[in-house]
Order: sequence, then structure tokens, then C-alpha cells
Amino acid sequence: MTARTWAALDKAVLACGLAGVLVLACALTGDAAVARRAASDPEAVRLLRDAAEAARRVPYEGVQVVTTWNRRGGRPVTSRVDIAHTPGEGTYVGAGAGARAAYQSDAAAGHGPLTGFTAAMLELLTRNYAVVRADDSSVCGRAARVVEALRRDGTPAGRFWIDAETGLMLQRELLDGAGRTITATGFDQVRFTSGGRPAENTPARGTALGTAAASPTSNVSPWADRLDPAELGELRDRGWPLPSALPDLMLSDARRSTTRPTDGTVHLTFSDGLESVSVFVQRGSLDEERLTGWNRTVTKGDTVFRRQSLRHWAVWADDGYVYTVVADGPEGTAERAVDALPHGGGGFSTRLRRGLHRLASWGDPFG
Amino acid sequence: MSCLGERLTALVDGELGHDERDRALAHLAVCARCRAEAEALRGLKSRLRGLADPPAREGADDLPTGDFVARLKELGRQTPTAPGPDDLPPPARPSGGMTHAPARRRGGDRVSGRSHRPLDGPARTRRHAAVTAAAFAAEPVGWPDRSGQARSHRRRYLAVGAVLFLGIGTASYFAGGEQDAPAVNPAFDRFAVEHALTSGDVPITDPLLQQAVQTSPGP
Repeated sequence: MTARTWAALDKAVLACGLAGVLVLACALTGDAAVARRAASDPEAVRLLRDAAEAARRVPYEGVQVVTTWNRRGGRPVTSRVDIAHTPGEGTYVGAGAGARAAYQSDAAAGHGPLTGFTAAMLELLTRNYAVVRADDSSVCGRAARVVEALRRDGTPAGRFWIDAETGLMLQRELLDGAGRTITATGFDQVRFTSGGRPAENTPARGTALGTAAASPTSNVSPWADRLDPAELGELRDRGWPLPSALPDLMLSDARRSTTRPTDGTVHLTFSDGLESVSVFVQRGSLDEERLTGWNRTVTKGDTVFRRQSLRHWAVWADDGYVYTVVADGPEGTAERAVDALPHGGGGFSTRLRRGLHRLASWGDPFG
Repeated sequence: MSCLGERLTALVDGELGHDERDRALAHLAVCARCRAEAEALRGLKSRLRGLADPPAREGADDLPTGDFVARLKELGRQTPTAPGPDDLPPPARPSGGMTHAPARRRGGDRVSGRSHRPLDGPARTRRHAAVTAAAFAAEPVGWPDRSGQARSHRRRYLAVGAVLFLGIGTASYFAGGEQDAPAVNPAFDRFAVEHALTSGDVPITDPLLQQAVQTSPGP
């Protein structure tokens, strides 16, 4: 064949190859898209949504256990609390004999203990995970429907047990990529009361929770000063280093400990619907002498104090602010969060910018 | 006015006829006054003829007189410098008429019988233009160096701007240094409860945390 013929043949082969690649890509993408569209089972999503309503409707009491398995196969950390819920009132949570009970009213509870998911959190969950039904099981001697939250690779990241009779969430677990349980929160004992007059459903006298409930309890609710995006922007303009997102996590809640603009601690909650990371930011320097027993590490030039117990903790100071990170889920979640937050402050440009801000504030007669 | 009147002027201009010229010359021989006036007229004519010559080439000596240059320089504000070889003659003479005649003359244009009118209108205009151009071409001439002043102003503004920029930058750098921030004790127990409440967990504190850290009051 002539050279021209060979050239034409080459072009034809190339074109066919490209077309084949495109078809393959479309097929794969189409499959993935189909998989995403069919990701969440509506019945499973409904079970999670109804669990929140059940927690407000169902009277119960029992013992809840929070257990965290840390890395390197260490001993799990467990915390037990007595809990009792009265519909129309709220939930008593006691940490044990002699401990002061915490009380959370149903009206204030937006995301209380094992109440299921709020609409916003459920939307986050279904966006990041596929929520599907798993085989039914049992927990606390009761039949339970099981719902799983799957990652994109199909591995379960969370598992929920929902009481088949009342719809109350009895237990939930966070799992790592290998399927190992990282954190488990659920009833160790549960008793569903009659649901009659509210007085009948208060914690029984003689129990630790009953004794504590009879005396004044501390009303537990999160900080009341919620920050909207405009207020967050205003704080950022004043120099507060408040991130708008963390890796794979979205900002789901923002609060401040006081209403004064210059004081207080800002609490940002980042979540993907399953795992949550809290970032507490406050002005000042860190009193390192009080952090005995913490592990000293170095991240991007900053000394970061870490601790793993029920949750992953990390504390450090940078450029006039103290950061405290509290994370559920795998240790990697906490590490990614710590890496994404400010470190190594005091650079030339940072110092220059901070100085300009201060000069401007000094010169502002209305500041 | 002389005895001859207008005829004296015509005699100097060479406009008299032959017989009248003889009679005028005979009168000049006996009349000293008319003779002196005729000399003055001839001198004036010769100077005027010098001004009516074509525009001077560069380096020619028929350049503006000193008093003219002096008047030009009075109009401006400049620093006089030493004139070059082709520059104007030093403006040492006071103003007041054509008193200085160029020492050298090209082409030897002498007063002659040629009948031409000195300095008629177009010639005067051309001469003034040539003088002005020559005056401006010389360095320095009476007009101010506006472009140089503009450059110096720009340099001044740039210098002031640079000083301001550096000053503000330095002040910002020192003002932005970390000040002594008060030491804070994060309220870990309260933080644990807050985290639980906002993340949907049981509102409990972290037991191991309480063992490791002195309990602090809430923020």
C-alpha cells in the first residue's frame, strides 16, 4: 500500500480507538450514575427520619453506653449513662451515682441522644452516603430493623438499629474502611414505660437518676448564640480564623459561647451526616503546663497536643488563637481536620495584614 | 529737516536723476548740516540693509543683537550659561535700538547703489522668525525647561510615595507582631458536652479527659 493509504489507515484506527474509549467512559459513567441515583433506599431513609419523631413520642428509660475502639487495638473506652425520657418534657441523663443529672427538654433537643436525624443532617447523610436496608437483627433483646450508610466504594461507614415496634433508634455504630467498629452508641438496657401521665414516666425513685432528677438538674442545651453566615463573615473580617469547611465535611452548626463580639469561644460543627468534628476557637495562648498526660506532636510547625479517648482530641495555639478539635469516627478524620486548620502563623504576610488591621482599628474613631 | 528736504533721502537712496544728483552733491559740498544728515542716513541705511539680508545659516554671525536676546531672556526664567561657539553674542548691551552691528559679515553686503528697499513687510517677518528660531535653538535660551520641571515633580511624588509605603509597611510589620495573649484553659468538659449535643450523641463528658486535665470552668 502507498504511504497515503497507510496514513489514512492510521487515522481510521485512531478514530476508532477514541470512539471506543468514549463509549467505555460513557458506559462506566452511566453505570456509576445509575448506581448513585439508586443509592439510597427510600424505606431506609424513612426509618431514620421517623426515629427522630419516635424519640420525642416514646417514653423510655435505660442505660446507654458509648464505646470507642482506638487504633492499635488498645482497650476500648466506655462511658455509661442512665437515661430516661418523658414525652412532652424531656430527657434526663445521669452519669452515675452522685452525679448531677443533665436535663434536655424535647423542645430544645434538635439532635439529642439517639433521636435519629434532623432533616438537615439526613440530607447531608444521603448526599454523602448511600442509605440502604440491611438484614434485620436484634439488640437489647428486641427485634430491630438495620439501616446502613455505605461509602461510594460500597463499604459500610455507619450502621443503625431501629426498634421494630416503636421506631426508636436503639444503637448506632461508626465503622472504618476495613469494617471494624470505631464507635458504638446505644442502649445496654432499655425499658419502654407506659406512656401515661408524665409523672409516671419520671425516673424511678431510688435509682441514681431518680434521685438526681428529684433535685434541681442542670439544663443541658448547646450554646444559644447561633451564628449565621453574616455573623461568621463579620468575625472573619475581624481576624477570626474560622474555616467554612473541612475535608469531606460541611459546616452544619455554628455557635458562640457568649453574645459579646470580642470574647467567647466559637464552636463550629462539621459533619457529613455520619461523622462529626467540632472545632472550638478562642483568643489567647495555650497554658501548656496544664496539659499533662497529652501526647505532644508537631504539625506544620505548631506543637499539637493530642488525646484519644471516647473521642479524638487535638489542642494547639497559633497566631493568637487556641484551637480545640473534637472528632468522632476514624482517627484519620481528626488528623485531616487538624491539618486543614491554621498552623505556622506569624509569617511575614500574616503579620503585615494583622498590623494593617490594627493600625486601621486604632485610627478608626468609631471602632 | 535739511535744506534739501526729501531730496536728501532720495540722494542717499540713489533715486535722484543725474542733474538733480549733481545739484544735491554741490549743495552738500557747502552745507555741513546737510552733509552730516546725509552721513547719518547712509549709516542707517547700511544697518537696515544688514537686517534685510536672507536668514542666516547656522554658525553665521548675523544673529540677533544683544539687546534683543536680553529682552528674550527677561521673558523667561533661566540660568544663563556660557555661550557656545555658535551661540548668540553675550547680551551685555542695554536695550534701545540697534546699536551693535555684527563684527563679521558674510557675503560683504555693503551699502551700494542697488535700489532695494530695506526691510519690507515679508522680509521683516521672515527675519523675525529666523531670529526666534535661532534664539530658541541656542542653549539655554530664555524659556523655562518645563519638561525638566515636570520630571522633577514626578520624582518628588514617587519619592514621597515610596517613603509613605515603606513607612506604613514598617509600622504594620511592627504593629502586627504577636502581642502577649492571655493564657486560656480550654473547657474540655464543656466542649465535650457541646460536641455531643450538636452531633447527636449523649451529652456526657469524656472520662479520660477529666483524669488528664484539671477541670476548668466553662468559657
